[in-house]
Amino acid sequence: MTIASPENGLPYPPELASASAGLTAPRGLGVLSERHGRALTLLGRRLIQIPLVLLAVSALTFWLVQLVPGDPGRNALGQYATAAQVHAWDVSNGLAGSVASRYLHWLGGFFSGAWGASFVYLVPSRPLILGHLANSAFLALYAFILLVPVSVLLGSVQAYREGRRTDRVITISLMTLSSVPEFVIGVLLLVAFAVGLKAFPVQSAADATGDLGQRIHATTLPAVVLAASYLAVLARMVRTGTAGAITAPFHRTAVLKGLPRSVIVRRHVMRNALIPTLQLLGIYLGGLLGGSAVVETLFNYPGLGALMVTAAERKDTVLLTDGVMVTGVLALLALLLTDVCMILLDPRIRFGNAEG
Amino acid sequence: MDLVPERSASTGRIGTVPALLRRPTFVLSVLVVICWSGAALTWHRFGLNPYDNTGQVLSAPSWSHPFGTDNLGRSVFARTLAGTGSALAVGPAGAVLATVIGSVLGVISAYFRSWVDTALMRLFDVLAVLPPLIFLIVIVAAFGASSPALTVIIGVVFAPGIARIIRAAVLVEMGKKYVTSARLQGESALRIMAAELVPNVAPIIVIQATLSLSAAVLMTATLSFLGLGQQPPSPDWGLAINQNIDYIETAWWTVIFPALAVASLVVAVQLIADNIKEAWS
Amino acid sequence: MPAHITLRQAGRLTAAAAAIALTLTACSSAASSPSSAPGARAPASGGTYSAGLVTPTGGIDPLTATQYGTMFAVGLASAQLVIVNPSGTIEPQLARSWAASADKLSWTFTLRPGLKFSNGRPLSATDVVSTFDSILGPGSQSPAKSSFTGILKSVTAAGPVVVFHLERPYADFPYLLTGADTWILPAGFQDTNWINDPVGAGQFIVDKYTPGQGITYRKNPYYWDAAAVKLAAVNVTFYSSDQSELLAFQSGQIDQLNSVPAAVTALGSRYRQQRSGFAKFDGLTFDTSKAPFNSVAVRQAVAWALDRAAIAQTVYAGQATAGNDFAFFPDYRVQPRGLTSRSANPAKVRQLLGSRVISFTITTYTDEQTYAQLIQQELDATGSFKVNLNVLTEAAYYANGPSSPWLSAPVTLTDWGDRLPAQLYSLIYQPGSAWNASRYANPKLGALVSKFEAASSAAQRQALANRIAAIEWTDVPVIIAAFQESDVYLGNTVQGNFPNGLDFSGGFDFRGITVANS
Repeated sequence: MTIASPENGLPYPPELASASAGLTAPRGLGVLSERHGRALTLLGRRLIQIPLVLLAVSALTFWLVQLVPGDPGRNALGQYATAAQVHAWDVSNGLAGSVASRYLHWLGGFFSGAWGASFVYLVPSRPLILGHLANSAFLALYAFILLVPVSVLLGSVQAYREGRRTDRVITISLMTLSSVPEFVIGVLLLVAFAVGLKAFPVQSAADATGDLGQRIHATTLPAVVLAASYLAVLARMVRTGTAGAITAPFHRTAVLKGLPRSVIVRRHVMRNALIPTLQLLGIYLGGLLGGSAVVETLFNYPGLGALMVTAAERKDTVLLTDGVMVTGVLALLALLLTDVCMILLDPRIRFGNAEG
Repeated sequence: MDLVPERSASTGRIGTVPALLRRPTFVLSVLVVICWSGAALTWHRFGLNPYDNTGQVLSAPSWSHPFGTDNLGRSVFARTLAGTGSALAVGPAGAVLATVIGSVLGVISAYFRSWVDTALMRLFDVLAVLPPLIFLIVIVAAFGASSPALTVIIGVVFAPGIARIIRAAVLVEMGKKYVTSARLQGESALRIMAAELVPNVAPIIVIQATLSLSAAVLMTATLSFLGLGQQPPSPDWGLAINQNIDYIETAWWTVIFPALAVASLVVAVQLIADNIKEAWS
Repeated sequence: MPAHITLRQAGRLTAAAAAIALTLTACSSAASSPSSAPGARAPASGGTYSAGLVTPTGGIDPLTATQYGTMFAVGLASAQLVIVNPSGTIEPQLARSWAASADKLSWTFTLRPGLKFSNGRPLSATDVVSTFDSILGPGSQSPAKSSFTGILKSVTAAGPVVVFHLERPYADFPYLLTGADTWILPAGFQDTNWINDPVGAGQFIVDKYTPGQGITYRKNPYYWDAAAVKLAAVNVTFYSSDQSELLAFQSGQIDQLNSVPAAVTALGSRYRQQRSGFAKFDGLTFDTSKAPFNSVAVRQAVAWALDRAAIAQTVYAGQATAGNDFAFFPDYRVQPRGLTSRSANPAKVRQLLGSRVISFTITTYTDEQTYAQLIQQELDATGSFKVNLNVLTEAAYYANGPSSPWLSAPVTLTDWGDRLPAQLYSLIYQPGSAWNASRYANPKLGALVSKFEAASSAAQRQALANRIAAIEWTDVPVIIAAFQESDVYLGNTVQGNFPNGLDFSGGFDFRGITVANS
């Protein structure tokens, strides 16, 4: 049986904490530095593992996209070009040669900053991807700002009113919202607000480098659609986590200890409620930053999601692999962030053996 | 605030079924699911034809065509009922597969920790980092969009996310007294995992199963949106939405009814799961 | 209160996310970022025209442009020697006049004096020669090459005169010069991505290109007829979905919209439409070398089973002319006569097939799925057919290689653009052609087509056209049920009429158009 220890960066089982630190769990600054130390260790280990994961991802992507039927040369030149001309196009765009040699060539270029060129758009891949990434990140941040407070609020309300009508109504409404496909919600919003009321522009890319206020105005509809699609899930996780924390043993112990209700809620319930929530956020944050292809296509927003879908469909290997690497780094960092937060927030460390 | 004592696995099941039947949302949801399943199995007995031209193109809902007709004159009512088959084929199976794989691996990973945990987690990272849509596009383009292929793909795509969450929940459980006492008593790893850990994280597993169900259904609709799902002239709901989205202003019934069908099925399943979870505890 | 702590925790994460996002936003200002309209362009009298196009992929280059969006983008800034007007006659553009030699084996085109490219450099006959050398040369990747193979031998220049030397007489030769990818480029032009250094002799000059987003143009003062171009600027925005293009048109963000069935249903008669010639036909092609379509009776049965009026209405929103299974576009100056128009005739179907039920699968790609479903619906309704569909993505349908679906599947549905009947013959009907998916071979037909292009008298051409069409109609390796009109909706602020069709053959001609901008 392996015991959790600082080396593998896992939370202490309470019995070891009490054995080493005496009957009272360490509090105050002592706790902080111990936890931070563990978090840093985790950080270090993962920062070494991340590049390996990315390497595997890049190889997998590069190889997988070869399976897509189609030929970039034929896609570019259309049906009236001869097979010989298509082949000439392929050669002049670096598509001759074995997959392995092209992969190694790409890999070398990637590390030296020369990310290659997209053969769908025939421009260098790096500025294209980074530019689109910034747009997706902007949209994701906007959606995030809309999403998190609302879902945390709704989820907590639901947990405290669990089983009662408020809970039911919110649950069903959110579920229905998340069960309708994004593009249907998006089109309905567009028809209602952009065409009907003319309150928002149809095309969200307008004035993307203009002033911030205009940009926020133009991206409101896609941000709302994005937020709506994650809202139900997040609210649900908050609700479950909070409800679970309310019913957990340490909670009862805290009540028995005579702590005031507000302190209980603030110190104990919320921390435990947030653990599964943060895990979920970590997964979704990576996906959000990578961009939602459906929303971006519908609103004509120049984001990374739509760019990569085009690259995948048209077998643009270089653009796709570069894009996957970028979103991969972001997703892994987001996951790392939530894992670190999970350690920092784990309440059993603070309370040592106070469970049972 | 009420204090709720911790339950061990076995006591939860007693009295669950009668308790469930007293809940109106549960009963309603089960009825909805039964109706859709029935529709999938028996629609052709009602003389409905989802493929033929009724002679009226893009006509609004009326007594003769309750859901109206689409641009090829086909009855939207018939197509919505007939589309249940493909909705029920891929989504639930894929979600179940994803949940099973994810839960098993999540529990194993959290229980054994060390290199097993690290290796599995990094493997999941590789799969989680690949944008699911891209992964799906490539796989579907390469291997086709048949129901079995889509089921396997969805299972594989959603499993890592589920595994991570189950692992986190199991890690929390691992520190609890009943686990350490079970270990001290010399219970085998398999028994601990199956009889002690899984039942205690069962609510989370159930939630993840239903969340992945809705995600799976929506993912297949998105694939149809991109033209990689079911083949025309299939009355699949996702495909119907994709083909008719351009008509949403002039013939809203061609889009709204399939969308409501998707929503109603997914909501019903999620409510069933919700009710089970509540009745359990 | 609970919300206090949760917001703090949420706040930490938000801060982290914000830090990431802001860093990346800062990065983006160094990278290429999406642009809006040039904005500070003082509008001349004509205003700014906003067009929406499908996002071009594969580079924007006059020699290799194949998608409509790409051709539009190039065509705004480039010019050809001649163009075709809506009544089917050739109009001078860069060339002022032209004539065939007595033996019909060479054509002489005289250029206008004082022509210039958009960078001020003079345009002369050597540039024309160089352009066609690029198209015809051994390393040419231009799809235009297939239009000239076997017809054009070489091009030479003498002063302001360009001479095209042909391999065989070709009465319609000037029409070939209005084909796709025949825009005139400067000599010495390097065949890389043109949009990076866009030089052309067209009505507008490229101002700024943002990949995946749009292009802005301003009026080209060096255009030979610049006085007739009233617009000050053109903004092209790329859209990847029909839905967002339709919504953008309805909210006034773009000034034109191609008529697709959903748009026609949504817009009705609230906007005016501009006829713009013919766009294409979708040919249902049978592999005539294998059963069951090696039998003429079966192919004719399918042709007699289709309701062509319903096809024109459903697939093309009524904006199509019925076709009669021969490859002559309705705007071609010679129209075959004397053939019965085919329409849905169940009696004939039964007469040809008896009690047989023919099962087959139509292979096509996503853009054609409405038409494919309609064919399936109509044929299944006759009771003599059982049709399945196999709808692929466009990339998969046209995938390269010996078993490419569009060339090897038993029944396919492929679209073909507006071309001469002789060109369509050499692409679709000619034995040995790389594009002959039907594997049809009829040497008599080939001989007739050659004679058709070699003939000079109108009466001769008409007689030959009748015979050509009769063979295509009888053998029906390809069913041509309708020719789609290329209609365009115009926004309410657009004034004037487009003199020529908005396509490569009409030269993307914006002369006389103004927009009443706010």
